Amino acid sequence: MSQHNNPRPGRLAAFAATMLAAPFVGADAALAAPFWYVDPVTPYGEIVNQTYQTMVWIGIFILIFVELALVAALVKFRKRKDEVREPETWSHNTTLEIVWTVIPFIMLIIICIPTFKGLAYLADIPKSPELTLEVVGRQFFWEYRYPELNATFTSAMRTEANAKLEKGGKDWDAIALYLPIGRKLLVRLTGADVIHSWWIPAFGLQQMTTPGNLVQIPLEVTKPGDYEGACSYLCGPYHGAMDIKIKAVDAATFDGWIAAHKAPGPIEPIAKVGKIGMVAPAPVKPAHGAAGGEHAAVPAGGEHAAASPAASTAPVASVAPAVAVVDPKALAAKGQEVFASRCAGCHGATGGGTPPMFPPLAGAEQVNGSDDDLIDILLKGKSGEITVKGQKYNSAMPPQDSLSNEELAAVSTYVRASWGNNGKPITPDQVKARR
Amino acid sequence: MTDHSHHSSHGHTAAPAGAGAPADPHVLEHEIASIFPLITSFATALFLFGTAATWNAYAFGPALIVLGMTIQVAALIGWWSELVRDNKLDETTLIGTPAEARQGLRIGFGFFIGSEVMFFAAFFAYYFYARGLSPVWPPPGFEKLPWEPALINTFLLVFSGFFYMRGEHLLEHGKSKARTLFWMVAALVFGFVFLGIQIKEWYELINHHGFTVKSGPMGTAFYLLTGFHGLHVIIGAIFITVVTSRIALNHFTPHKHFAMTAAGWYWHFVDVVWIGLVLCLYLYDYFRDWMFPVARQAIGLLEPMIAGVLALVA
Amino acid sequence: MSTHDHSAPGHVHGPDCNHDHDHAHDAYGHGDGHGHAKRHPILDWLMTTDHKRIGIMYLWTSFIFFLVGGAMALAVRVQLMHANNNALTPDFFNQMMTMHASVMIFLAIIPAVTGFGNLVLPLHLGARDVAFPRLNALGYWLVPAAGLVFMSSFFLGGASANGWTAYPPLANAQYSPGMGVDLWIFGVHLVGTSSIVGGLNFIVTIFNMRAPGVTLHKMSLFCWAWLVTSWLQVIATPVLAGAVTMLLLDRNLGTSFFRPETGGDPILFQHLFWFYSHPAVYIMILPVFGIVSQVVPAFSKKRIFGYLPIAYSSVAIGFFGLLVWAHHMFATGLNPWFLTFFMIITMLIAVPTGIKIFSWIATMWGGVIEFKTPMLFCIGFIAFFTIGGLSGTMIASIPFDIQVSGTYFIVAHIHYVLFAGSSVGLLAGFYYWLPKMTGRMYHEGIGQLHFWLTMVSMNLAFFPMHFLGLQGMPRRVAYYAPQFETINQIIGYSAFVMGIAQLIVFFQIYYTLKHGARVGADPWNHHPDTKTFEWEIASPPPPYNFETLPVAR
Repeated sequence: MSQHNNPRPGRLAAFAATMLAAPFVGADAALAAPFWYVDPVTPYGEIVNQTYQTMVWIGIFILIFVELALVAALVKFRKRKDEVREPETWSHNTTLEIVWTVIPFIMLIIICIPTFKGLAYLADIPKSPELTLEVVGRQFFWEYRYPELNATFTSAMRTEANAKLEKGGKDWDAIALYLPIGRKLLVRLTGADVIHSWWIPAFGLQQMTTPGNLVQIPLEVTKPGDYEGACSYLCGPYHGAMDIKIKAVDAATFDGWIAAHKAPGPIEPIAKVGKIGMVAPAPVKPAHGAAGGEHAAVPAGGEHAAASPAASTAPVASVAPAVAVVDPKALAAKGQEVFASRCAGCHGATGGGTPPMFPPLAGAEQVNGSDDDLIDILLKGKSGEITVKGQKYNSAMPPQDSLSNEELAAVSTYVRASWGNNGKPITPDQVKARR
Repeated sequence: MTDHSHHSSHGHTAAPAGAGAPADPHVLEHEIASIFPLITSFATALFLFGTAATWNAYAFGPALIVLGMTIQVAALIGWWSELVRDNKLDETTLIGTPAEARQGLRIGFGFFIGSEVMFFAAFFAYYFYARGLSPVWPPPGFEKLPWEPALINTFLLVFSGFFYMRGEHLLEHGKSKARTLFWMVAALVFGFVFLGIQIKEWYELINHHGFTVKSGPMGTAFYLLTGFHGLHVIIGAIFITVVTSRIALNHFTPHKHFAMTAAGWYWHFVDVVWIGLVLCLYLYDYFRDWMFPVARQAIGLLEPMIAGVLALVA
Repeated sequence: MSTHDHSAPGHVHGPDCNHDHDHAHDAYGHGDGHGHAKRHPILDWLMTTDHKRIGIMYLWTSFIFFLVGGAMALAVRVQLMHANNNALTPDFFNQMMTMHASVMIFLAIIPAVTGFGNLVLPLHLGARDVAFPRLNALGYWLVPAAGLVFMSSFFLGGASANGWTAYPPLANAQYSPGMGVDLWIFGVHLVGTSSIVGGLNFIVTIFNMRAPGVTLHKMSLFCWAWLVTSWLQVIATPVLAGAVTMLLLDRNLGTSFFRPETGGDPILFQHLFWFYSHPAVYIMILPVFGIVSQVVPAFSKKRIFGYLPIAYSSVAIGFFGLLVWAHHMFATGLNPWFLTFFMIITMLIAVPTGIKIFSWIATMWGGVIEFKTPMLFCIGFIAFFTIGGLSGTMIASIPFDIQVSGTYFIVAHIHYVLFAGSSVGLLAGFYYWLPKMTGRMYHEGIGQLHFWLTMVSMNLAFFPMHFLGLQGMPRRVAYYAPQFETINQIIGYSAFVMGIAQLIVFFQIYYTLKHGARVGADPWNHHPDTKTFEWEIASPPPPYNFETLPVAR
């Protein structure tokens, strides 16, 4: 029947060897870390590492056992050339079946031991943490806040230039968040627009930041050093450029860094933990009369101001400081804060942009041109091809309509008054008219 | 575990020729071929594509919706005519004897309703999730949904279900066609009145109370659940209309009327969903104010009694 | 049908059988039943309700979409050849990545398993067709219809770019304006309907249409696998339909299901989505377990080891599979103790899966193993699916999963499950039943070349992804840190080899139809203990399968 002979034993050995070895070829040499795992620098990371090591060894043991049994069966019971042999007729063996049901159970229990240690650590949220770090994920950068210390910091998106920076260099330090070592931190995370995920492999830690939800996790870094991470949940086109750079330092260095990053005004903590979004808007018509409510910050105590429909608009949008001023100078000052938290990630702290992805604002025709066009870009976003200062860009800016009229007016006024731009101020009423 | 070593299962062999059911050559030649599955599929795709285009402001969208729906309706009419024709022939085909085929329909329709239950489960899941997590429910400014239409509608649907059962009973016992038809039409009329009241309620809520799908989780849950339920009432009503016409055309006999049984199952399923919906959406908010205190008091009364019983037993 | 001559094999019925026209049509002898006028052969295919023809159409459709999805994967790999590459715009990269997964899951693997279900299930049960032949045709035609809807989005402003998971808020209108996501949702509706219809059909076929003597405990393990799969399809798919419908309404009608700014919660979408999409993994793998459970005994010439444990381990996997959805949400920030429930159930699934793997090896033990291409693919399946199973158990552990969630470790895991598992198992089924479908034998040497190329390139492409994830590379990124460049290039080149190797399938079909040696009823010389009904009848089988209904011994 068959048109081809069965493989010779030599080919069979090659088959077995390739099957076992192919996955590992070259990989071991390329990566130095033990079992290709990063060195943990937090107590929790140690537990995760322990869990990983336990599981990977059990896994390798089972894998080798299965592959050896498979290869043994294939070699021992292969049909040899011109061989006449009747196959066995048995088809069950109770002892064997019990063994291969019970042993995996036992191995699962072994895996559970370090796993539960990790779970206990995660569930143990410090009631009175030494320090709170707030992380807000935004397209496509991170906004960090130390509310007790009144300091804020915005991460930089990866650019071709800063991707080449060496860890620990001066320029690298400038775009890194500083963390104090040896202190028990409470990290509170949320997302402002879409879901992101804050992941630093060396911390053994990852947390998705979901809009409308606030999550708390404990964090304690024990080893000073420079650590890199990345956003690990798809958040849009530039998901891959949403870097995390963290410098863990001693108390003195940390205090110095904090002093340099003080916020101009006091910072309100984000909101209460849990579903900060599940506020029911009032359905009745007349409530819309009182339209001033756009800049109501989410109350810290979690008292949901449910009566006001505005309280429910993008709870996290109100993370940005409330603005209620119209004087152009004050507007520009407020605009600087809004810019730092919402715009600097892509357009650069000094309006230089991040070519070739995001255009500069300094000297841009669109900034200094028509008021209405500029306001429209802010309210509706901008995507598709665009020429700025003679260079073509093709990316997408999300609409910023979750910001209030005052905030948008402030940030436009600030941008038009900075870095050599010369546009005239924009008022909240102008924004309101275009909205 | 029983000894299964002699199960030939996985390796069962065909017995010598002639051991199985003998084949009627006519059965083997009976070809079931139909163009309507193909047309239905692509018409549905066209309809959905048109919907997406309409929502995204393409001018050609509405035309595609109309075209898709027209083809779809035509294809379904063609498909159902084929089924009715096959049913009339009442012969053994590749899928078995008529009795076997009906048994298959029975099982299949049961699982279909099961899958519909899961569809509604997703929407009820939203309702419970939103309600459980929302700090204020019902939202301020909108206290309770009016209970009157819900109550009337419940009676309408329940009675409609009873009328349907009555019609089925009459048909099964070979009673006069006119009486069967009377109860069927009554069931149908109650179904349509239900839809009418539902539309009126929507109209009033939207226009007089400003309560729309955009009124936060409660508006969303309300219109989603009542909307999808209403859609199922419409489908059920079409199904009953078809069944009623087939009764008028003498398609059914006391022993052979699966289409009628199936439409009945569907109608009762729609009924049960409605009752669940009324309990969750409408009545809960009226009862919770006194239900919980009453329940607590009842437990308070029961406690010494249980303790007494336990003391006696011990 | 008196003109039928079963003893003369060579009745070919493949869609590209033009060169063999006469044979193709006397196998079906259309134009006779009920005195229909003779139809055009193409119309014959368009109107068919024959489960075998529908099966073949499913397989063709799924293979073409497999190549389309593969091409999309290669586009992704081109962008990832360099750390900060600009071969694709990041938005187009996301579209490719999203549609690669959507096409592979909804239009390639699920239709392919359904194709084998159609082709084989009635034959194994001793039935002449499935329970609802017209509904079966509807289930098939919905797949190409869905394919058109999915693909049309590329010409109307771009496809969905949110990953196949389409989590809001990213998938909401505010962040993903345009028609892409709406068309994606409607495509999912269409394939979902196809899946429900197919599941219903198979459940009724299994419960109602078994030949005399074929009790549930005597039917083949392929049928058992499908019994569980079809339950999952009927129970879980409507929930996905509900979830994407809500997303659609949020996008277009301003409802507040998943929009936090109106009081909705994006996390609910994840619950509903994974309530389907975790069982979907089993919908894609259980029928393949069924194929392996047929092929391993066939080429070991020995009865399957542990029939009942394998059958009921499928039931256990299906049941537990409905209760583990939240293990995809470990990093979302839910209460760790609530998640522990899902973790434990997830780990338990390793036990029935292990039972299957061990039972297959025990089936080989004491057999007389022939290394034909189908068997080789099964061996590849057992050897490498195990890696996916083990990494699956690792990521069941909450702390470790939180660490690698959303990274290339997960990408490695799913590709070991869905490529080394599903796709390789499907190729085993393809080679196993190809002679039955065509009545001719494929080219064994090229088949074995196909196997070796697939195995080597597959492991070189997917295994290094584990290291990338452990070392810190997130998934779905268009840019990455420069230290990962070398590994990404190894993956990229291997992916190209893997993709090109799959074109061998075309060669095999061409060769088989044109030059393959004619075969009789049982080209594999099954041992009586391993012989299912399809090997008792002509290759290809006549439209009605069995002239006389078979009876199980």
